[in-house]
Amino acid sequence: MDEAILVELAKVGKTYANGPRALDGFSAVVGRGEFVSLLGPSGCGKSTVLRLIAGLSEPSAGVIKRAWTGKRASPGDQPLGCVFQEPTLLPWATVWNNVRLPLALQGLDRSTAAGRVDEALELVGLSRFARAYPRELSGGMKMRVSVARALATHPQLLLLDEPFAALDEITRNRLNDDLLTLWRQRRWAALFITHSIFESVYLSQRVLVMSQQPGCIVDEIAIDLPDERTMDTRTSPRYAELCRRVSHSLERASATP
Amino acid sequence: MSSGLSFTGACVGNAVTGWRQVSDLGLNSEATPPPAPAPRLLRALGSLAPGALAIVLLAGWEIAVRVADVPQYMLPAPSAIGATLVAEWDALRPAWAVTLMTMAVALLAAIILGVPSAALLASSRLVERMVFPYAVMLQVTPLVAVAPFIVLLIGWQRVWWAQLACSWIVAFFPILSNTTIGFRSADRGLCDLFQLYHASPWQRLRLLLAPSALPYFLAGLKVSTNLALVGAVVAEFVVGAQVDNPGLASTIFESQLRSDAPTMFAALALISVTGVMAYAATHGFSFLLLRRWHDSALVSQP
Repeated sequence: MDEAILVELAKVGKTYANGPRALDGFSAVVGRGEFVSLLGPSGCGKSTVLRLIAGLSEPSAGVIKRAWTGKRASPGDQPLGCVFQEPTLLPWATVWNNVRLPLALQGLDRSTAAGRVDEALELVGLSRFARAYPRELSGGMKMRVSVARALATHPQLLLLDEPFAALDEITRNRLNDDLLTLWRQRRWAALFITHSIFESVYLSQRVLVMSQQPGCIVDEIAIDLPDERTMDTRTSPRYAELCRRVSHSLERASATP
Repeated sequence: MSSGLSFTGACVGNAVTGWRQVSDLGLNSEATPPPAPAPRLLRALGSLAPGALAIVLLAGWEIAVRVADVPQYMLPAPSAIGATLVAEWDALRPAWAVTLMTMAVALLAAIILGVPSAALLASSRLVERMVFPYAVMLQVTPLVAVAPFIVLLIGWQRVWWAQLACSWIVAFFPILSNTTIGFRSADRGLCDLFQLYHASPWQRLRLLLAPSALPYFLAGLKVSTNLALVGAVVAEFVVGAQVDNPGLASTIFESQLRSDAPTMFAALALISVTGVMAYAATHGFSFLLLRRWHDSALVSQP
């Protein structure tokens, strides 16, 4: 396997026991430190791709190669971090203990984990809320905790499944900006699942467009915007052009039965 | 002009205090103060209300009995019941201890057996389908009908154990069924998260399933605690007065044979007190455990 490749899916298919074929001949690659968006109409099997990469379900055909398999990680490290559509926090635990969870599950004791937990909370700007309980936080803050939890294990790949879809646009834009800032600092690879064209272009270096179910990649668009993305990016002609390009591609993908 | 300026103010203030919007829009020229929060005194009085009602009712009872000259064997006055409580305390105290002990041990046994059984039922649909009908049968058959058989089986030599079994039977089911649902109700997303991070079965149980089941278990516990008392009392009525260590219900039964109404009422009062104490204890316990995170313990803002 190529050193630069982190995850490779080759002709992956997934058929569920109760009938529907979610994926068929799905092939894609995520490189180290790369920000990739997976864009597709709803119900096209985007989340299935995420679950397969995360190992939460097994493919019925094809192969998934992960660069980290068989390699020993240092204590507390996890090659994979996940941010789901919902914040999925433990309601009975404080913010601090929620971020500590993946470290605790690996057997790291409290004092060893403390440094990483504090660091992760600092990254998402929630240090002041370490002792709060999830229900005391706003929706945006809960998602920040969820991101902090995923980053606490220093992942090589961050899987994000429409993470900010339930938030209002202002909060979503701010969280996306913060996510990009973190990515530029840390350079984990990210696979960002979304159904928003603008979001996918704004965030990523590469957009993969998926077809209707059974899903497979029908187009791949390189986003040649500068890494530093700001308000100006959103209004630049190149951004508009890329959005149009992705939009056409998505339209074609949705039209084919 | 000024209304245009204050309109923005109204929008800002709107979220915090609804009243300002009205005044700032110029519908009301003078600013109305927000409604004052209920004063402490009023709230303190509110918490005394049930006690006040009790005093009124007891006083009414006392007066009615005295005025109508009701004979004591029919309805003793509260003062006579109080006097009996004091006079008969040496007989009532051990009886109370027996009933309390039956109830407490039965509840403890219901928890110790109910929670692991629930974990087992929740872990396998097959086990649940196999066992659950019998658990339901145990629950829906009226205890009064089953109690004589339990006494027969366990024997008159060990009659307290029979009382314990009766109390346990009714206390067991709510804990079992509630906790089973609780173990099953763990959030799907959290289950995925635990799988993603390769949690061991023990970690899953301790850090995810047990806390998820806790509110359900506590709901079951509230019901079971009071059912345990019901079970203990029913069993005492079944075994009757002829026991070495009579409980409160046996005392009622026995006093009835002697037409000793004041002692009957005194024992009944102790049973009521026990029920109220158990209710308060379980609700307080549940609130302490859930107040920081569970919606059921959410204190409504005044």
